[in-house]
Parts: sequence; structure tokens; C-alpha cells
Amino acid sequence: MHSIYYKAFNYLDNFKPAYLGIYFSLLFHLSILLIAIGLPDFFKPNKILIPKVIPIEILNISDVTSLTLTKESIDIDNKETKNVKQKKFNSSNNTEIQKVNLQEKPKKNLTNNDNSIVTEKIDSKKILQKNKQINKLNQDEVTKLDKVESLKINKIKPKLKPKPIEKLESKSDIKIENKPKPVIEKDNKKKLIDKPKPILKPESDFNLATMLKDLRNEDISNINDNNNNEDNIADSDEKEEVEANVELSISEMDLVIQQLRGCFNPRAGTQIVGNEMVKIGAKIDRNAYVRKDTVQIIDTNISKSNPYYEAITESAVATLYNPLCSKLKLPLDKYESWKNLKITIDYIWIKN
Amino acid sequence: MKYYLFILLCLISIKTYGLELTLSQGTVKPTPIAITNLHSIDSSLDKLGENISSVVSDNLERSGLFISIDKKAFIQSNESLSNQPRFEDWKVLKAQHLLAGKIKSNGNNISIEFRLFDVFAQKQIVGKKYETSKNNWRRVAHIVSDAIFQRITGEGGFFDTRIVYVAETGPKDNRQKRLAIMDQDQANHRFLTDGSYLVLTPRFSPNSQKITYMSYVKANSPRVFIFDIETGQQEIVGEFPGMTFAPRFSSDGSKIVMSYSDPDVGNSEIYILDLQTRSHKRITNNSSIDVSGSFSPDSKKIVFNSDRTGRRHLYIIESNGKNLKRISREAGSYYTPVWSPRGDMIAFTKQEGGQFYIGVMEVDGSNERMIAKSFHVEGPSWSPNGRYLMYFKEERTSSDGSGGESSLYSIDLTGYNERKIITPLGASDPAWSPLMH
Repeated sequence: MHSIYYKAFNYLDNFKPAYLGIYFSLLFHLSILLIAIGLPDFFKPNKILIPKVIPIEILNISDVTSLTLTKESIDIDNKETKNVKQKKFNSSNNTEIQKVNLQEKPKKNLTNNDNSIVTEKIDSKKILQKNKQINKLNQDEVTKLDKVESLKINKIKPKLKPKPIEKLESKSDIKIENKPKPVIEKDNKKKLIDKPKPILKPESDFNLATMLKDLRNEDISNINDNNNNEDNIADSDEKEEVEANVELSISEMDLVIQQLRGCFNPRAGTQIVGNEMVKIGAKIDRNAYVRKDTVQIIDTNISKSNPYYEAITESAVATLYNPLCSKLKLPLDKYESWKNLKITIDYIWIKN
Repeated sequence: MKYYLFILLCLISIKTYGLELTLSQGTVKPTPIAITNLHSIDSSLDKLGENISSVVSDNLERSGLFISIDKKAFIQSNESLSNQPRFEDWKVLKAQHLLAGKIKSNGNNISIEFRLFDVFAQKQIVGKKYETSKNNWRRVAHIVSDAIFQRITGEGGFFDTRIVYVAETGPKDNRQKRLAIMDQDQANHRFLTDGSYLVLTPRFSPNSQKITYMSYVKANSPRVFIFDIETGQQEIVGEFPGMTFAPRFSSDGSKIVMSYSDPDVGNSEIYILDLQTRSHKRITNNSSIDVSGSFSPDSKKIVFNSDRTGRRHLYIIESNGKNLKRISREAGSYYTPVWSPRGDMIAFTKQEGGQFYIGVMEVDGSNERMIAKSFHVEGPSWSPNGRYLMYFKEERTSSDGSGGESSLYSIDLTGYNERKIITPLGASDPAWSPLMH
């Protein structure tokens, strides 16, 4: 130790002012680095990225609770009610009590609403898939799920009614949550879309129960949103259906291609040297019959000096003249999409 | 203004199509064709009309590219067909094409008129009329067949052609070989030589009127001859002290390429003989055996085989003797190369692993493929359209001495549609004539 002190003092004694600038510069840069980066804290515990994890879990819970684990969520609510009761947020117990009082009137409305939702769903699905009876089962499942959700709605929805609100207000602090009620009661879709301002929650009281509460409200609003969306979707679906009907599906196109393949008989003996191609066009009648007089060559890369020009182009045109393809396997309800037909016939496969 | 005009033209030219499909596969199968008997008011010509349509039908079927619809299934009568075809009646039979025609008698001559219809498009695509003597009806049938074949496939026909070959009879150790000629459908067969001397490797001249071949007129002294089919006269080509063999005409018929074994040199070389001046020119100069020369269609190059590398391989050399190039690269020995009339391929005989093959390759030696295989196949000859090959196939001789017969076969360039050519005797060394019309 003495030697170190000795060396240090010795160094200071021998310190040359000429190097002062260098030392100052070093010190200055180090200080800048320290300010920018800071001193490393080796005793600092590893970061647990809870904030990042929590939102993910919340999403999972919401997904689960909204579908299959509703009972669990209710249980969790019940467990949390004692603690939550004194808080400003709705508890499941409160809602249950309110449900008893307000079951009759609001339930009718709600059930009506539920039915309307379901029927709308059915209607929309019926439009989408008319002939599929299997959907009924699915719809039942959907209704079941909706009913599970509707119970929750029943619990909360009475609060949303103007009259019960007064009673409820006297019983519990649900002022904040009352905001969405009239929105649901009116069933005004546009208003539902414009959600009420998010409920202000004290951050210090944040826990799973409150989160579930929020999720529930969100679920309600989501359901309503969904209802609204479904209404909108139903309208838009009709439009989309019309639009979708215009275009042929892949399987429909594949079917007609398969049919045309059987009718495309290139002349045996035709020599294909390069990438010979012929584009033919035709108009198709509404009953899917090819108008023979409209079949024509639109384009080809084959020179007329090619000795096989006629053999190739005639065989291309003959594809639509073939009796097997006089009536094409096209969906009649999508006439607009195929009334004009263009076929690019590629001959390279003969070469290969 | 120009800008607006351009846009306007673009808009006019753009024609929107609703459904756009791409067909990259189809079905290649023989084209169904309905060939009706030629109609005649004169009932004495009915049989002739029937014979002509029968020859046409057989020709087209033999090509492997057509299938004739049974006449019993025809709905429309010949008489009504001579006025206007009812296409719906032919569509029912799935006929893609319909041949209808008339035959009339003009003294000793006959006039034959035919029309080829595209049934699907419901239009006539060919219509021709020929006048000839009654005896020549068969040739007219071949010419009609060629016209149909060419119009539908886009390729030249090959029906109005002849085949010259070596007819073989007798035991193996004392085989009699003589020249024979027939139509490509085996009709009008006749022998050109009497068999008193051996003949080999006959080849047609471009005008199909002459045949050059090698013959042992003098024992132990084979010579190249030219035979005139019309007159029956034959002459020796040039006076060479040694053996001349394996001759072939140039595309214009003015020259012959052949092999000449000069006794002073001791090996055979490729020579070109000018038939006008009777002068000859040595093309190859090597100590190896160079044989089987064949001109390219433009007569500027010659393909031949040589054992200069130890094994027999194919070489191409220019007619002036320059730019020698080996084109065969695979294992085995290559013989009898023949340049395609199209000029794009070379057919050859190949021996490998105890088997003989008939193969084809492109002129640069690429895309070599075998299209026929047997105990012994040899001597390919191209059809005039370059689509078919004819060769001979020899059966294996059994222990009791039976078998060993050789026959002619034709095959499609793709290796399909192999057909035996029926000849009255054993046959070898076929040569396919060019089109005669």
C-alpha cells in the first residue's frame, strides 16, 4: 500500500503541466460518457418485463373468459367482490342483486336484443350460406355463447336502464359505469360505436378483478359493437356477396379449365419450336353456350410464315368449337364475370 | 392532339375480357376424320370412288395422326353431301374433319374433285380437282392424302412416294438379293433386278427417277451403279481401280457422295463424284475407315462415320473437306448416318451392349435418343417430310436354322406408331423416295 501511495505522490510531484490538456480532455469525455450512459448498477435485479407480459395475459384471459371460462371468471369475480365492494367499480355481487330486482323488465329487452342479434346473425349467415343446415348447429352454439354473454349483460345492463339507475345509484357507486347504459338501452348503433369515455380507474387499485370488470364492460361494448358491426356487416355482406358473386372461385375456374382441356386437341404432328401461344376470345351466352360466331384469335406470337401457323391457330379456335365445350361449366349466376371469355393457349407443353 | 389520338386509339384497342383463363395442357390424339366415298352420277364409277376414299383413309390412318370414322356410322348420304354438308350430323359422330368429293368420267380420263371441311368451324378448308387416267387413280388418292395431311398437320405429306429396298430370298449362306420397288403403301410392287448379282444400299435420286446402289456385278469387285427406273438401264459410276460403295445423291442430284477404297491407300475415304463431269474429289484424308457419307439438304456438309478414334463415331465435314467435327459423344458404335430432309436431325444405327438401335440426334450431336431397338435393326431412311423413318429389322436365327428373316418397318420420329411394311420377300436396306408430285 505504501508503495502505491508513494507512487501516486511521486506521480503528482512529477506531474507535468504540459499534459494538463490531455488529462482534462480525457476527464471531460469520460464525464460525457457517464452522463450519457450512466454508471452500471451491478446489484440491480434483472428486469421483469411485467408490463409487457401483463397485456398479453390480459388478452388471453379475455379470450378465454368470453368463451369458455365464463364461470371461472365469475368465480374470480366472486372471490374478488369482498375486496372490490368498497371500491368504485362494479362488483359481480352488486350486479347480481340488481339483476334480481330488475330481471323482468330489462331481461325482456335484453333477450329481445339477444334474439335480434342472433337472428341477425342467422339472417346474415343464411344469406351467406343458404343451403347449409350445418350452420344451424353452429348458430346454436353461437347463441349459446351469446347467452352466456347475455347473462353478463343482464347483470350489467339493468344499470344501463335509466330508471333502475337511480336505485342502483343509491345502492352502489356506479356512476362511472352508468355512462354506457343509455347507449345500450337505446340500441343506438352509432352511439354504441362512439363508446363512452373509458372508466377512470385508480391505478393503485389495479388488480385482476378490476381488469375483469373492465373486460366485461369491454365485452359488453364489444358485443354491442359486434351487433352494430354485424348490422353493418350484414349490409356490407350483401354488397360483398354481390361483389363476390361477380368473380369466379378457384374451383369454378378449375372446373371450366378441366372442361376446356378435354376440348383442346392440338393437331397431332404439329411441331412446336419455341413458346408458341395463341389467345382466343369469345362471347358466352347467358346459358353458358359459346357464341360460335364470336370466337376469334385475339393475339398470337406465331409468324404466319410458320408452316404450322394454321394447324396451331385452328386447333386453338377449335377448342371452343368442340361440341364437348359448346356449353361451358360456368356458374350461371355469375354471368357478368364470364360473359366475355379469353383463353391463352400455351403450346409449350407439347414441346416438353 | 397526337397525344389525345394515341389515348383514343389505346382505348379503342383495349377490349376488356371478363374471364381470362390459361390452357397449358390438352389432349393429343389422332384427329377423327370422316372420309366419304366419292360421289358419282355414273354408277360405274362408284367402285372407283370407293377405292379412292379407301386408299385415302388407309394412308391417313397409317400416319398414326388420324382415325377414320366408320362409314357405317355416317348419317348424311353422299348425294346430299355433294350439295352441302350438314355439319351437325358430323359433329354427332365427333368428326373434326370431313372429306367429301365427286368423281366424273371424261372418256378415258377421270376428274376427281374433293373438299375438306372443318366440321367444328363449319367451313371448307381445302378444295381441289384433279384429272388423270383411270389407271392412275391410286396416285391421285395419294396426292389427295398429301393435301389433307399437309392442310391439317402443317407438315408436308409423304403418301405419294415410293420405297426401294433389297428383296432377300434363299438360305443365309447363299442369299439372293435384288432390288425391288413399291409404293409407300406396298402397292405396285415390282423387282428391278433379277437377282443374278448382289445389290446393296439402294438410294433414290431427288427426282425419284433414278436409284444409285452398290452391286457385285463382277465378283470381288463391288461398284456403285445408277439405275434408271423408267428405262431400266444401269451404269457404273466412274472407273475406280478399287471398291466403291455406300453412295448417296446430293440434294440437287448432280453429285454422289460415296466411299472409295483405293488399293494404293488401303483404307476407304469419302469421295464426291460429279455426275456431269465424272470428276471426283477426296473429302477425307485419314488412315482410318471413313464410310456412309450423307449430304445435308443444302449439300454443303456431309455426315459420315469413321473409326479414327478407335470406335465408330459420326463426323460432319464441309463438302470442301474442311472443318471436320465429331458429333456423336455417347458410348457404342455408330453407323449409317442419314441427314434429315428438314436438315435438323441425323438418324443413325447404333450398336451397344449386344443390341442394335435406330436413333436420332440433332446436327450438333445433342438430344440423342433411340427410337427403335432390336437384335438387329439397321439402315434408317427418312420420309420426305422428315417425320417418319423406315429401317429393317432382322430376327434372331434360332438353333435349328429357322428365323433370321428381315422385314421393313416404319416408325414415327417420336418412337411411336411402329408399323411393319408388308413385302412379298424378306427385305432390307430401304430407301424412301422424295415426293413424286
